[in-house]
Amino acid sequence: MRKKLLIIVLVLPLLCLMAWASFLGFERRNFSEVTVSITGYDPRDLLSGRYIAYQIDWAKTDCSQFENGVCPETEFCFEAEWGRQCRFYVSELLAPRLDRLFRTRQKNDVFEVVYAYQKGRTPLAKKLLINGKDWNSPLILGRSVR
Amino acid sequence: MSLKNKLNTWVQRSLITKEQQEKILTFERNNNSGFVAKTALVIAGLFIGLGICLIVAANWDVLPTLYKFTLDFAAFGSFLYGVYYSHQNKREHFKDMFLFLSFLMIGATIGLTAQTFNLSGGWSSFALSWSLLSIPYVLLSRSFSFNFIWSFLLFSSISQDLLDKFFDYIFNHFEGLVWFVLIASALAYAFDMLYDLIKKKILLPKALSKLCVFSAYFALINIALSYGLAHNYNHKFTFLAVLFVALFLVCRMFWAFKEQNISSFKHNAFLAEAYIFVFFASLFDDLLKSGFGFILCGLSILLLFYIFKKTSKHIQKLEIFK
Repeated sequence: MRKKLLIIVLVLPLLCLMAWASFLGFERRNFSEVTVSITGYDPRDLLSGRYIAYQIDWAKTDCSQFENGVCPETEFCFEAEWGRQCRFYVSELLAPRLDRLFRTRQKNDVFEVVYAYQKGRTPLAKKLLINGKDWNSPLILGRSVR
Repeated sequence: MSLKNKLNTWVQRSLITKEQQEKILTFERNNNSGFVAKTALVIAGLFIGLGICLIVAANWDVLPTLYKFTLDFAAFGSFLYGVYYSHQNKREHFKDMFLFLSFLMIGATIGLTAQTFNLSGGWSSFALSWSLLSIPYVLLSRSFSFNFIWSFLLFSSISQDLLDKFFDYIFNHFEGLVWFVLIASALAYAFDMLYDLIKKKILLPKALSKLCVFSAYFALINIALSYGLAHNYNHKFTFLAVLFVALFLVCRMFWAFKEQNISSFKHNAFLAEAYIFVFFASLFDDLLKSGFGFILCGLSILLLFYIFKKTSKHIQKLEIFK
C-alpha cells in the first residue's frame, strides 16, 4: 500500500505536466487562426530561453477576423507594468538575427503573429511572420545578415 | 557552542569522563562522514539539473517538439525511478539528490512548455505552478537545502506589484522595518515550534523558519546598503563586495572546521552554495554551452565522489594517515 502511494505521489506532477502539454497541443492544432500586428524587442529568460517580447498593435490589426468585428484586446498576453506584454520564444542560435531584424526594421516592414484562437480560451502564438513570411525562412534570415 | 567545547565543559564538570569524551567525538566524526557525501550529491544534483534547465532554455530547434518533450519526460521519469529505487534501498543521500533533480525537472518542463506554446505568463505564475507541483517532492525530502530553495521559490511567487509596495513600505519607513523584523521573528519561532512537533516526518517548517530569519537579516543588510554603500556603486566596488562575501564565508567555514563545529560548517557551506549559484547565474552567457558545462561539472563531482568512496578505505590504510 505504501509502495503504491509513493509511486502515485511521485508520478502525479509528471502526469499533470504531460496532461497540460497535451491539452495545449490539442488547442493549438484545433483552434482557428487569427493574425495580429506587433511591435517588439529581444530580452532573455534564464529558465525559458530567448524570446521576443512584443505588444500587439491593435490599430494595425484586422478586427474582422474576430466575432462581431471587435478585437478582444484583453484576451491576449498578460498585464505588465508597461502594458500588455506577449512572448514568442526563439532558438538561441537564431535570436541575434531576429533581434537585428526587429531593430533595423524598415518603415514598410510588417511584423505579425499568427495565433490559435477561440473565444474565452488563452490564445496560443503559433508563427511569427515578417512581411507575410515565416521569420526563420531563408529569405528573411538572409536579410538579417546584410 | 561546538560539540568539542560542550564536551570539554562536561569533562570539566565531571559529567563525563575523558574516555567517554573521546568515544563521543569518534562516534560523531564517523557519524558525520555522510555529510561530505550529502553535500557532494546536492551540489552534483544542482549542477546537473541546472545544466538541463539551460539546455532546455537554449531552445534547441534542431529537435522537433515531440522529441524534445519525449526526452524531457524520459529524463524526468528516470529521475523519479531514481527516487523510488533509492527509497526502496534506503539510500537517503541519493534519494534527496533525485528528488531535487525531479524538482528542477518540473521547472524545466514548465519552461519547455511555455517555450513551445509561447505562453506569456510572468515569473509569479511560473514560480507558483512550479512550487505547487513540487509539493510532494519537498515533503518527501530530508534535505534542508532543497526545502529552503522550495520555500524561497514559493515566496518569490508573490506578485511583483505587491512585493514592490511591501518593500517600499519597509525600506522607506523605519517602523515598517521594525514591524517586518518582529513579524518575521515571530513566524520563525512559530515554524520552529511546528517543526519540533513533526520533525520526524517533515522538514519544511524548519526551512520556512530559516527563510523568515534570513528575510529579516537581509532586510537589515539591504537597509544598510541602500543608505550607505549603494550610493558609491561601481565595478571596482562590486568586485570588492564579491571578494569580501567570499572571504567571509571561507573564513567562517575554516573557523567552523577548526572548531569541529559541524552545524556551523553546514550552515556556512549552504550559504556558500547559494552564493556560488547566484554568482554563476549572473555570468550566464551562452545557455547551451553553459548547460553542457554544468552537466559535465555535476557528473565530474559524482565521478570524484564514486572514486573517493571506492578508494577511501585504501587511502585511510596508507602510512601517512596512521
